[in-house]
Amino acid sequence: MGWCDEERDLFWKGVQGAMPLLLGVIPFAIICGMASMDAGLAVWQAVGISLVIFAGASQLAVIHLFLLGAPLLVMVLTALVINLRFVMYSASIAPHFHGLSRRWRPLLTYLLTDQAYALSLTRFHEPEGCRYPLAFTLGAGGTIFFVWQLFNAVGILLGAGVPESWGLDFGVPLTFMALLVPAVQDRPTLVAALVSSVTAVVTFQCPYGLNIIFAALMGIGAGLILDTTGEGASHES
Amino acid sequence: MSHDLFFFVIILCGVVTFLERGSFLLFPRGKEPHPRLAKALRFVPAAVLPALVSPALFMPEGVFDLSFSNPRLMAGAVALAIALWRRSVFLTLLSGLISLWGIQWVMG
Repeated sequence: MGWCDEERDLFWKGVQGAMPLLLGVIPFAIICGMASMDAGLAVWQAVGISLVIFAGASQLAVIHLFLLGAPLLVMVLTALVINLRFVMYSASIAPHFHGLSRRWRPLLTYLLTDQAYALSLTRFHEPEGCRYPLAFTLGAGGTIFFVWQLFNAVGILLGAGVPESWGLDFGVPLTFMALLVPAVQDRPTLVAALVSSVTAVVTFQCPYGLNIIFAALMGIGAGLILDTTGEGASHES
Repeated sequence: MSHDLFFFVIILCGVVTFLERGSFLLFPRGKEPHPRLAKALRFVPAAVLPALVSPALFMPEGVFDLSFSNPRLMAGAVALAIALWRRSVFLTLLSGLISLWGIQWVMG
């Protein structure tokens, strides 16, 4: 690819950086693969979901809604809301790729996962900096990608064989719970989480799993009301 | 919905997700997000994830069940404690599933 030594070195730093996170990625990917098979999808569709969306939380939610019989629009809106966090990641990481050529951007975009984002930003903010952010992010993001797809396939293979009484479907909310804990950083995010929990239960009777969208919007609203960070700076327009 | 139509939905979700990931990354010289949008986006993970967790704990059978005889609520409480303590997806999953199996075994 015509990369210099330093770029290759940074690529491998990205690969290494991703290693400790795989302990969380692997079980999540297996559960996603199993859930796809539980929904009665064909193997190629189960593989396809994970390649096309490549975002576990939204994959699981969409499969769940499919089983509830939700209409097309609700499924797409739910995936949109769950993945809104990528807009935040995209905005915060973009300045580091200022001047990057257009041909790398689609790949970089596809590989922007929670883990790749967190690893990259941590690395870019280190005092020595990162001269070739693309190489590092491709190393980290590419590793997450390959391991995710591999263990999604493992879950697909296991999927049909695991008895329902094992309750492995409980792994889905447990995974979300583990992802939730680091997202609660202060009082406004805590209130957002509590309001969302209560709303999701109270509006559970809403058809087609619309309660997820309601709960998310109520949570964001509650967080915004309480949010006082950057108050002085944001009195612009 | 047929499985074929569902796969079409998957492709739509994939396109939406790709555009969200690329919203500021796909095109060079992207603009900064509006400050108000940036503020709201900060709350997305904390507001979305509980909506996927709480019904699975409080109403596993579809009705609200806040009692000790709700094994998923009890197992979820154990997993939450572990998640707060260790912040590990792996340990949270493991402790939650083992608790669920243990509670179901004790309750027969």
